[in-house]
Amino acid sequence: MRAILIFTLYFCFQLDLAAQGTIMVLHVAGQAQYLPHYGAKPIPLAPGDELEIKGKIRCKGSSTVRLIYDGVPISVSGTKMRDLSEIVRTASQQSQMTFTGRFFSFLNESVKEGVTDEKLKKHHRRYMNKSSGGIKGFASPDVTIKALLVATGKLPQANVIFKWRSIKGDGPYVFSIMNQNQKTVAQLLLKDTAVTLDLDQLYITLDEEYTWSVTRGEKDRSAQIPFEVCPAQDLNTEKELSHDSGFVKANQDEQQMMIAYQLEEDHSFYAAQKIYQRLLEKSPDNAIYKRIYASFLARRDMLPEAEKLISNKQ
Amino acid sequence: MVTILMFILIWVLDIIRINLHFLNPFNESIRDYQVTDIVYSRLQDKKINIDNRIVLVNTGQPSRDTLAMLVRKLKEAEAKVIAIDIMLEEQKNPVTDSILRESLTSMENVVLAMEIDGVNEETGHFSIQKSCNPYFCDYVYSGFINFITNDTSTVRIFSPREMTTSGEVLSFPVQTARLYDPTATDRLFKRGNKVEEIYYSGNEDQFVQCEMQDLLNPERDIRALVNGKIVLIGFLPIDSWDKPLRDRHYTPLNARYTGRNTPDMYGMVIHANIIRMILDNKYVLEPSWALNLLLTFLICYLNVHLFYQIFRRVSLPYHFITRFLQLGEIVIFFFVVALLFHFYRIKIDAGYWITALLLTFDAVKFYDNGIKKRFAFFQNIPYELPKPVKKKKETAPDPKGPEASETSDVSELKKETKPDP
Repeated sequence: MRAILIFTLYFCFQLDLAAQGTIMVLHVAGQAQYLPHYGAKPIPLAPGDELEIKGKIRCKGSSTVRLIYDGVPISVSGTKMRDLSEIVRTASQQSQMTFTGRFFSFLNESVKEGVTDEKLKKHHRRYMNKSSGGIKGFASPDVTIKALLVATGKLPQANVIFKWRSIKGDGPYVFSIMNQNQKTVAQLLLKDTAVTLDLDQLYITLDEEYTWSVTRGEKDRSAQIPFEVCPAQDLNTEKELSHDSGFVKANQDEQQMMIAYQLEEDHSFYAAQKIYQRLLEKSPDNAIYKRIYASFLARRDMLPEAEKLISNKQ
Repeated sequence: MVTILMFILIWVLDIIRINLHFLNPFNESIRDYQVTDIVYSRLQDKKINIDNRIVLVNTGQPSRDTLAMLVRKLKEAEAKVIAIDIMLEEQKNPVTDSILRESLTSMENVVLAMEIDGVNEETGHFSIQKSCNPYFCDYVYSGFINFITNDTSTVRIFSPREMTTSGEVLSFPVQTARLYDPTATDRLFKRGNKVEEIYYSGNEDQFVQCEMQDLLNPERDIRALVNGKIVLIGFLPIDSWDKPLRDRHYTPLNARYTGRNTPDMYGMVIHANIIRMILDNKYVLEPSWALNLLLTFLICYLNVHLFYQIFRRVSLPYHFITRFLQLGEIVIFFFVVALLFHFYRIKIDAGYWITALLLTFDAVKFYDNGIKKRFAFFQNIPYELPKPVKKKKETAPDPKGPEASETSDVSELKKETKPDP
């Protein structure tokens, strides 16, 4: 009896060990980050890295990461912070058929009736969604309300201003904040095209990803803009840069510029904008500050604001 | 007798080659198809067995000084073999070229890509080694990157080594594998095959793939990634939005194994597959000609026997039963061929089996109705082999004779097969 108990415990222990496997990074296209645990500093991902299953992962922009876990290849994309355990579970759920199963599945597919030329001519509209000539891009977006992309990425806790461009029409703008499960965290009816929120007062967890969006009526809507609340990003960035000899040698304004640049690199756009605005308030006629800030705005898809800033000078 | 007749028919069909132009589109789409392509493309396990000995690096179209920096960094990280699948055809900037050569020669195991050309049909020797300038090639190892294929067909086989006017040269993957594990290439050479079938263990997902920028990042320690490994450097723009067709080839892994399709694998990944095959000693096994003949004869004989028995016993639904049997047997043949290739890498050509199967139906009828009735000689040949004499129970002699006893056998058989009310 004791032997059976020990063997069972040993077996369970083995299973548990097996479950705590690691994930290998096969390929990274672009930039992606890995957080080994909650609150840890993000680590840039590189091919060959081994990741703990309890960690989290996030891609920047349109980057993609190819992972492999227990022989199963997994592709990850999107800017959402995602649990690796969740990703692995989803990938493992895909059925793994035996050779015989795959063989008979193939035979079954072969037996199915193909699309003949006659059928294609008769029901041609049914098959017009299969392919098209052309490439994606350079087209107007399907969203009608344009959200300003400064309040995205990493946001501070207090008094964040969310802005969007006005559109023609009646009725209030409905501003919503949703969590990853698409449940509403906050919703406001507004007349104006901006709202200031103290995110600290909302039921929002730090370092979790949320989205904000604006709708008006039934047709008009904005894209879902992702954000997460990461307090004291500017202080952390300044602390990191303080080890850099170039930063130490620079004067105060140059240091602020360097911090702003690094904040933008770290997706802390809101904090970066605050620094640019402070620098311009201090030296409103400084052409370099204006141009750098204008470039920042243009990168945030705010071209009218950027042009206005430069044309004021000229 | 029918089996021999069928072998003659198969032989005749095999030697008569008719060029039917009107069937060309059909021919074009299936001529480059093998049953094992379905195993590769549709029946393979989706689980990947990652190879930790090989790392693929995409350089795009690099400048030579960047390549020199990369080689130097890989040397510092103690990569075991650096195989550069880029043809350094001409000398360009003298300064850059000298820096690159210095980087290449500073490391012991560097393989450069080159091409061989100008074959002498009589001797089988190649006269030209090209696409790698002697300024580089004379100081490091080199290997030819020629694949055995025409413009449109699939890369299935490769030549491990060839003779040139200046001596024997190894292919790029073989040279790379030899520098990594000489015993593995010895095993390959002991097989003594002039060409080897490539066993594709998978696509690029079975290897770690890096961009050149990843490795040149000064903040990154790449020692753990490349130490003691083979680093294949070349063109591998997998994530490029337009997926350029340069150096992309058709392989049996192509999801569309017939008809019009796009090439599916970059040359460097094919080389990596060959290296893996050599290191793992996983070769495709093809049965000898004699074994193939024996198997075909056996299958042919069994089918003739089966069909003849059906023909003799139930001549009316003979067509119906045999057509279903043919269909069922083709599926079974396909299953057996796929199974043997998937699990044991044994590649069997079932073409003759299927031809034999398709001909059996008519051959049996032709023999029974045509040959046997017209030629008295064949009537005297007993169809069935003489059975061993068994001691029978003593019974009273049948007054109706042997023919009546045969009919009574058939009636007994019918009784047995009759469903129980």
